[in-house]
Amino acid sequence: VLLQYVGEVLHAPMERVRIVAADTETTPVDKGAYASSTTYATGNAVVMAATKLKAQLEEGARLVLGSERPLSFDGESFIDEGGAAALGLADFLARVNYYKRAGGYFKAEDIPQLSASARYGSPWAPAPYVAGFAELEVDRGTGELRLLKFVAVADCGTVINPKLARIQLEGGIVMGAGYALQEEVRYTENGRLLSNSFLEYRIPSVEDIPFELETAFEESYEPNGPFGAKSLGEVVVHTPPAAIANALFNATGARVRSLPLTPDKVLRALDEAGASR
Amino acid sequence: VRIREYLRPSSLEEASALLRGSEDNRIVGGLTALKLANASIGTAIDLSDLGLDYVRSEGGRLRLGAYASLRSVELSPLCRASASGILARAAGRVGGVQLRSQVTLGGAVSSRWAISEILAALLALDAELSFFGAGRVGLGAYLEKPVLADILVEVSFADLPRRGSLRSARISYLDYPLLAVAVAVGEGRPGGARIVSGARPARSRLAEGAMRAFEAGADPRECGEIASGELDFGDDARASAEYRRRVCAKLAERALAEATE
Repeated sequence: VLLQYVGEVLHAPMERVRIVAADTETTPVDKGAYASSTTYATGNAVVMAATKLKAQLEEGARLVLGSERPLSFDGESFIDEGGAAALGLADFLARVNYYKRAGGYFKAEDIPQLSASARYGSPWAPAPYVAGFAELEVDRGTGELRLLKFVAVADCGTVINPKLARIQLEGGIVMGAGYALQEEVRYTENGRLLSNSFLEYRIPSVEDIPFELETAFEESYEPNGPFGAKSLGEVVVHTPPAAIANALFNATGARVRSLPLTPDKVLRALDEAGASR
Repeated sequence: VRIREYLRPSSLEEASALLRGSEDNRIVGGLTALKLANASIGTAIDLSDLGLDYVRSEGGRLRLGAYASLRSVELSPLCRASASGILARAAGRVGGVQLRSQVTLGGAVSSRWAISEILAALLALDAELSFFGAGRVGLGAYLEKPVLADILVEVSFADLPRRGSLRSARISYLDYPLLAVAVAVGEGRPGGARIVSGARPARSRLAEGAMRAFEAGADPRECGEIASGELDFGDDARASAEYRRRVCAKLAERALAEATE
């Protein structure tokens, strides 16, 4: 997503852009995107930095050519007002790099450093939305639940990368289903952690998620977001627990108000609702 | 798990002598349960060279070597064909394929893992255990005894019934069962049924009252009620004793209905 942003601003193919992961030696101090909103918060900073870099390139090219008129960068060349390519990128970089030997073209201090950074702190938190729908099979004799189908529709503003957005949503639903149905941190009375291994703390396996999974996006345009995008981070996990608990209620009248919806709790709730068998 | 010395004896006699050498010495199977228990082992005695990984029918008995992996039990046509395949199904519900390829049947039996469905299925099938020293011991008797300093060589069955059923309640697919019920039903009612509840969470036990009732003509629902009334159930972090009692009745009812339909 961040590569797409840079590519869009600088008209550069994605393979010419490289991301360096957070590293105190090479990247500016950053305290995080918050609420896993990289697409929105980090995205805004990336778009701002790329926009600055583009302005530096265009100003540099103008100085190299000694032109009075502004130039615009199209990814390969600097274009003058008449639409003609006045200077190629490679040529520009060569001239900037070897300015000492090319005396007389321009004064070194006029050329901007091609380096831009930007920071973005949002006074707004444009909320993404997900609507979730669960179809559930309830064993009224044992309290076991089986998720048969889940449908989720998300509004994350502009969908920047449809494939990544889809798997983010699908992954979140599976994670949320685990949270709803099986994942539980257990302690002894004295506070010793019992669920301290994947033997005791079961995340969904492929056998737990044979359910049909349908996702869709209802796009909107977030004016404060990069190209209209909002985040699509933690929101994806939120709907399965509520949708599944409500599906249980809808099917049987049984209400369970703590997660996960384990068979023992479900059977007791079925009893209270007069729905067990 | 910490192992001081690792040996692969070339005969059961040699293995038995090694085992008797020290209380810290252990026969190791797939080393999964011992690893979980973080055991400290003097000499780990590996029986891999003794050809005990067989699954075969011989002399009218189904014979499974102590080193047969759960995976081979799960896939064995012989195990799949007997008693509606409950042993193969129980073996197939332990972890993933990699784990099942490592865990040995002998290890699954001698670790006496209370929550496993394997012991429930074996007990329903009236498994007999052959030890190097003690000879043949019924699984039911073995489970009531203290741990033997002996080598389990083979698990075998006289005649296996054609019908059976294995039922469990679980929080998630790979989790231990909250409760398991295994039944094996002889040809026609007079043959009777063996009804076992496991993962109570205590170790598997026969529901003898329910078995007598079944033979006397009680229906699956009545048998389930009797089984849940005669066995004891415990609480743990996954489910309450009360839950297990109710579900035992329900699963036994369903299992008997399936095995007799």
